[in-house]
Amino acid sequence: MRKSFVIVIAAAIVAAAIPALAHHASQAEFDKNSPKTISGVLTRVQWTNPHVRWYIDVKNEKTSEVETWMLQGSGPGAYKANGISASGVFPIGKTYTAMIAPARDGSNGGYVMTWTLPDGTKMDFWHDYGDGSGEKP
Amino acid sequence: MRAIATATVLVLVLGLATSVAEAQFVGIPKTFQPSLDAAKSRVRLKNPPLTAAPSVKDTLYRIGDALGMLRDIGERDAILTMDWRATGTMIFDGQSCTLANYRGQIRYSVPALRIDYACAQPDGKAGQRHVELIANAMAWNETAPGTGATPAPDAVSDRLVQLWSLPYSVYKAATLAGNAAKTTLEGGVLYLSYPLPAPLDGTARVALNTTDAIELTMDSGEKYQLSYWIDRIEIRVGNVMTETTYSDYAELNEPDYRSDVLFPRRTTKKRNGTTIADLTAQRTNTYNPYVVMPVPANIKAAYPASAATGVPAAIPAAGGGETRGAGQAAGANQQTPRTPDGHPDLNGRWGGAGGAIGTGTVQGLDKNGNRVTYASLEEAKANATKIFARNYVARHGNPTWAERDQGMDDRYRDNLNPPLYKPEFWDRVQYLDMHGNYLDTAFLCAPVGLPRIGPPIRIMQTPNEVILLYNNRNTWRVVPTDGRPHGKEDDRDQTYMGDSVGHWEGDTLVIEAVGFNDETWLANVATAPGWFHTTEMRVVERFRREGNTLYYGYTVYDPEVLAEPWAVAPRAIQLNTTNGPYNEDPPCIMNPRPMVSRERG
Repeated sequence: MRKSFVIVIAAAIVAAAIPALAHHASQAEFDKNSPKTISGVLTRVQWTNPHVRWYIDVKNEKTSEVETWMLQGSGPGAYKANGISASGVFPIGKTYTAMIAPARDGSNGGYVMTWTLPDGTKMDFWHDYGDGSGEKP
Repeated sequence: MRAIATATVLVLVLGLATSVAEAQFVGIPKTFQPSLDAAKSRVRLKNPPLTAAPSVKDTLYRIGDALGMLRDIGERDAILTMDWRATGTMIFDGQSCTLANYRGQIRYSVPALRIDYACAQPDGKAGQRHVELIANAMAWNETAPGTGATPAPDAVSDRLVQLWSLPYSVYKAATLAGNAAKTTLEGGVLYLSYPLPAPLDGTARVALNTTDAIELTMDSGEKYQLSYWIDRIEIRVGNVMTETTYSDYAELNEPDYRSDVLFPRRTTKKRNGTTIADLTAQRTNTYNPYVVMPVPANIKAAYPASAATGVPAAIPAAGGGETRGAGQAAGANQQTPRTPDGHPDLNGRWGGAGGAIGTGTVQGLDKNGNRVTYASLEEAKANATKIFARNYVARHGNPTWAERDQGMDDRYRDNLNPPLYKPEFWDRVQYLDMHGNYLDTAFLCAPVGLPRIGPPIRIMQTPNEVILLYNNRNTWRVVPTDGRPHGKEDDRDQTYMGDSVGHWEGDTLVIEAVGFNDETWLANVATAPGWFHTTEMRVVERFRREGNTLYYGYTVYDPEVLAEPWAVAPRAIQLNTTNGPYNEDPPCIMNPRPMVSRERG
């Protein structure tokens, strides 16, 4: 049976605990209304402020070349508060699938909405779409 | 002549092509296109006329929701301040005036309204500037915002009527009226009637358009409608009838600074049947911008004391956002530990154990499928069959709206107690806030500095110094408390945390910091809405322990730019005895990708 987490990236809790945090809308950087899915091998996890970053090697179907995508999430504190750690949940060298809100500047990057981990576990980092799958219907 | 005719045809053709393309794209009026872009789809509907009047509660909800006033999980009125500009005509001193400029500002917590305008002279240039204010029940005029105030007692009633005539004021005033508000259906039109807030002795009657609706389909697939547009407000005070008509509601904030709060593009006003204003709104800032309306001393003196408090604040009583300072009284019964030298013992880890800041509530479905708000994530995990990410339950479940809700909330809470800048800096604060994505150095990974960093998470105290530790960027301060003055040169240094010296005033530890750079912004609750400061800033922090509660407050002095010191009331922080590990705050690595808009979250 597939495990399905619904991860609560509770912006309210994070903002309240760290009043010094600055917020910009992720919409200012990513297009959340045009999600896309990419798959590739995780090569590096950068567990830093202000946003955690994952680097994934994705094969470009058109050119057959491997391109590195930099994906981004919330701050490390928010994940930690939900029991998500860097090496515990994201071992490198394995294949991951991510549904992302692509970067508005057209670069190879995006904001992760849903992760599918190598063991099939799904983690919804954005919001639940009502059926618990974390996938956009 | 021929060239002109050709040009006209071209413009017409282009105009037609544009409007056709837009109509095909969304099928709703052009004015709605810039707003509500968060919805998956938007369709314009015509509802049949109502056959029975809905309750006041339902009516107010629909009014507030359509205007975009009701935000966040609690769908609570989140409108504190607003700023808008318009063109059009007004009657001034009995003469018709074509406006050279017009700017309105409102601050509902007072409540207060400022209208700043000038009529165009025959040569088209702006004539004399008129700045007309009402704050509570005090009316006055200024020559420019914040200067040259003269009382205008005859205008109190008119300006209060103007204040309560704004669409958002309908929701607020009818809410204040409570059970005295009524809904009726007359000839298929829904009317909302209520007595006006004191001291006005009058009534308002609001005609609502319930047939035109926008149906939105959200990410979740849920559909819902925006409707109940405020068409007309009739306010009768004594024998004066003021009728305000609104139409063409649209998002008028700049395209990359939207708030999803709609503003009527067209406003007309009649007094006793005569048109006194016909305004077309050009641009708004509805994102709870920096709008302050201090009452000058000579104005306060000109009115009885009751005029400063007679009008109820038109914001929800509990203020915006999460409940803060929960457990404030918890430490009252405990004894305050003291160090051998007799001072309260501040040693310990403060906050972060829950209870002090924020409520951390989580929404989920219980086993019967009902949506329930759980007190904590732990409680939700134990009892819920499904836990919702917070975003799911933000306004109608849309992620974009969730971020805008957060931004509205942050500004709402911060601007409840903003620093009062000198009038010449008011617009600069608004500008910095609007452009914060580019101008707030925190986005460049610079330290946020004092006082934005907030209280320390750990205090270590010796007879001669206190050491303050912060998780944010693993920051520390060593503060001498032996009575020495600021270090020579240090007090003129330009640092993020300043040069600090402390002393005890009774049981309160007072720390004064000077020697700052001017890179950082001030913040109170959640964000830093453009609150800049100079290198002359002086921050005085006060730490007081009562039982196991630490009270932390501060005052910012910056006479270069602030009209008065900015005092932030002490907040309660609980002693954290969890004895958990201290973790490194990972370094801030700047984003290689630039922000492409000014949208805040």
